[in-house]
Amino acid sequence: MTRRVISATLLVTLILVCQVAWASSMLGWVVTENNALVIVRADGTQVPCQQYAELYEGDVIQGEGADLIAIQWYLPAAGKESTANGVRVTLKRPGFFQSLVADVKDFLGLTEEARVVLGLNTRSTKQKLPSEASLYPGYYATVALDEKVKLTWGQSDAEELTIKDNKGNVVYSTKVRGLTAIELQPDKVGLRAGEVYQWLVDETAGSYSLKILSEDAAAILRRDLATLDKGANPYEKSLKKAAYVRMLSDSYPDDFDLYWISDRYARAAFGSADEKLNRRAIYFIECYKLHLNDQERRSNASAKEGRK
Amino acid sequence: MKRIRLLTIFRHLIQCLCKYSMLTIEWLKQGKRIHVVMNIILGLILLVFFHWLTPLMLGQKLLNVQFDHYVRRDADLTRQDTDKYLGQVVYFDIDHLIYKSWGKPAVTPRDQVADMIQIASESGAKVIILDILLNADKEVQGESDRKLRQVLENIKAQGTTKIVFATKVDFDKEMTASVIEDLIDDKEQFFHATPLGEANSYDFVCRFWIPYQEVGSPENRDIIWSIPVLAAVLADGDIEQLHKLRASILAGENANKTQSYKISLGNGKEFELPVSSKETYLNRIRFFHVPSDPFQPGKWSGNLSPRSVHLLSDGMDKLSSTEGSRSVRGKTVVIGNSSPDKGDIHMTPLGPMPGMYIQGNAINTLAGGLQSSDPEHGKWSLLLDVIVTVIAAFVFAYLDAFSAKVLIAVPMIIAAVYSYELLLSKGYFLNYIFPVIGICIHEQISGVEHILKKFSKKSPPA
Repeated sequence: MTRRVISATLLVTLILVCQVAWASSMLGWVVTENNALVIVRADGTQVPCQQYAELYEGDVIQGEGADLIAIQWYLPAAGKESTANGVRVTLKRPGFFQSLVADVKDFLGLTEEARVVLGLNTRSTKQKLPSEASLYPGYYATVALDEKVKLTWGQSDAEELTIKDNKGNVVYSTKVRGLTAIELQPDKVGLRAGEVYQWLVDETAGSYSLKILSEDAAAILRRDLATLDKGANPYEKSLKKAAYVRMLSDSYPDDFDLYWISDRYARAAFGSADEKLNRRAIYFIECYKLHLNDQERRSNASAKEGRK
Repeated sequence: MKRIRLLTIFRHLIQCLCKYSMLTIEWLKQGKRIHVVMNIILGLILLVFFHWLTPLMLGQKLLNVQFDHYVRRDADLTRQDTDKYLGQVVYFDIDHLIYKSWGKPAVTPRDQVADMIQIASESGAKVIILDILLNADKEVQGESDRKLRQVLENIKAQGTTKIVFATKVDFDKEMTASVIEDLIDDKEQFFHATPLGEANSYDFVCRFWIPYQEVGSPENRDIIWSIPVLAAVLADGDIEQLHKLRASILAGENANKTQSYKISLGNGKEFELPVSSKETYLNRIRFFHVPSDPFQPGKWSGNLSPRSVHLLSDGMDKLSSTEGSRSVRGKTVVIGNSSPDKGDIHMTPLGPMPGMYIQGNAINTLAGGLQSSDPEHGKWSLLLDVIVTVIAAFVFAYLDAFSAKVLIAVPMIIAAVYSYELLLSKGYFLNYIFPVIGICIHEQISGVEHILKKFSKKSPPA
């Protein structure tokens, strides 16, 4: 009898320790940072909402746009719920006995058997080129002064495209009725190296940033791309360039945002007979789309912040 | 005179029945009643338990152990007597060697497909199963597509060979259009068919064919038959049956899925279309055809003769030779690609197998009258179960545990030995694993009987 009591006590203690350990473990981390927001811990301490900031149960992300923050969760049971002043990090624990019964049923094979459908046919292994994104070169992008860039905004009902400098002065303006994209060369429309510009479609429809690469940065880029321009296979060359500009954008995000060029090179690399090359090209194209989504979230958050 | 004799026999029968009933009742009064009643209750509980267990993971695993054993015996049987069990299916296989020599194109060259269809048709094939998708959205092959179209139009004009085209249905239940979509009418000669099969989720082994797949929106609902169902009916049956059945399914008849559909084939055989998505017995594929794997010799021993499998790497000339034509005449030809680089290799109870051979085996199962069914599914099932339960109850009550086990084990062993014969000749799947488990459980329950006996001895006499 004594043994049973001791065993039961140990088991309960173990369960409680596990529950406490679970509660105090990190539930996720912040993917898209927003320094205007603040994370308020359960003990009242405050930390800025930076990328990789750790999130625990009971933390509250406070501020406008808190619900737009992307979070990488570690546990499937972790999540967030809206509160009056932001979002709260929560952990929904499954009921102990329900999960125990489910585990035992699963272990004994007493769960409903499901069937998996298989396609028993020969299919094409050809990769399909993903569709173009609706926005180029992105919400924020860097472009070379003497290289042509295609601005794409996707709405055909726009009337006018305007480029403004950081003081709000109109540098360039053109009618775009019926168009969804135009191609221009920055130096030909009066843009200058190292400056940041806003390009707007119909003032209210959309506003996007364009940074012209400094002469040094443009020279480095040109030199390195020329180095990669060796070899016979044009698909491989394009793919290497796509990888290089992507690497540059990831390593020096303050100076380069060339995901859009990575997308262009990857599209040029697609179409080879080698499906492996095609798959890699698709990867870089998808990366541009993900980057665009990320930029959109940030842009929306800062727009809300601006309104506030 | 005859009537009087019949009445006499009937009277004797009634007397015998009464006599033995009285004897049984007397015997039950003589102290064994608790044991017998306990055994019967136990037997009935086990019946209900196994009925409940069958659709669950454990039940399926136990059934698959037994059925996979039969599948291996099927393959061995074909190895011993090739002609008898190969049936009416012939394979035109775009094997890895030829696929490699073509430069492993992502889309199968359609001029080659056209050549194979033409040869099969000219050789007198009854039905051609094209297990290769001809999706228009992947790549239009200009000249090759024109050649394929020309060949198909000629075959349609002749009205001889029937062709089934594997068709992809996307997540929104929309059929993907093929490059010859306008030629397929689903009425007499050219048909869409779903190439899907099913595997158990716990081991991903492909064991089941499916009857049909639903397509279209809820307002414009339709079905396309699966490759094995269409192939079997087109080869030996009347397609009108499927047209009527399709209309009946679309009209929502038998919506509660209480009865399965029987399809008659012209060769005196018939098969049943399962209606439940959880069907366990009727839609099992019998793998009589095993292709050899040139990349793992010895591991995967094939049983198909060169007359049944025509590898394209042997040359198109061999296909169109007199011997090749003879092997195809009047048969169902499955055209597909078995190269591992095409990603159409699936796990089966016999090991990995290209999809085209799984389709061939499914066709052979239906067209060859080799479909398995469950005797429990039939009218004698309940009676059989009850009789076995009552006999076992008496045997375990009358004899000691060891003798009873031996006595019950003998018919079980005989059943285990001859169950495969039963499956082969009648298609009945006799499940002997569950009764064996039942006998083992009896031992555990006997403890409860002892407690009940003690309790009954302690109670005062009435």
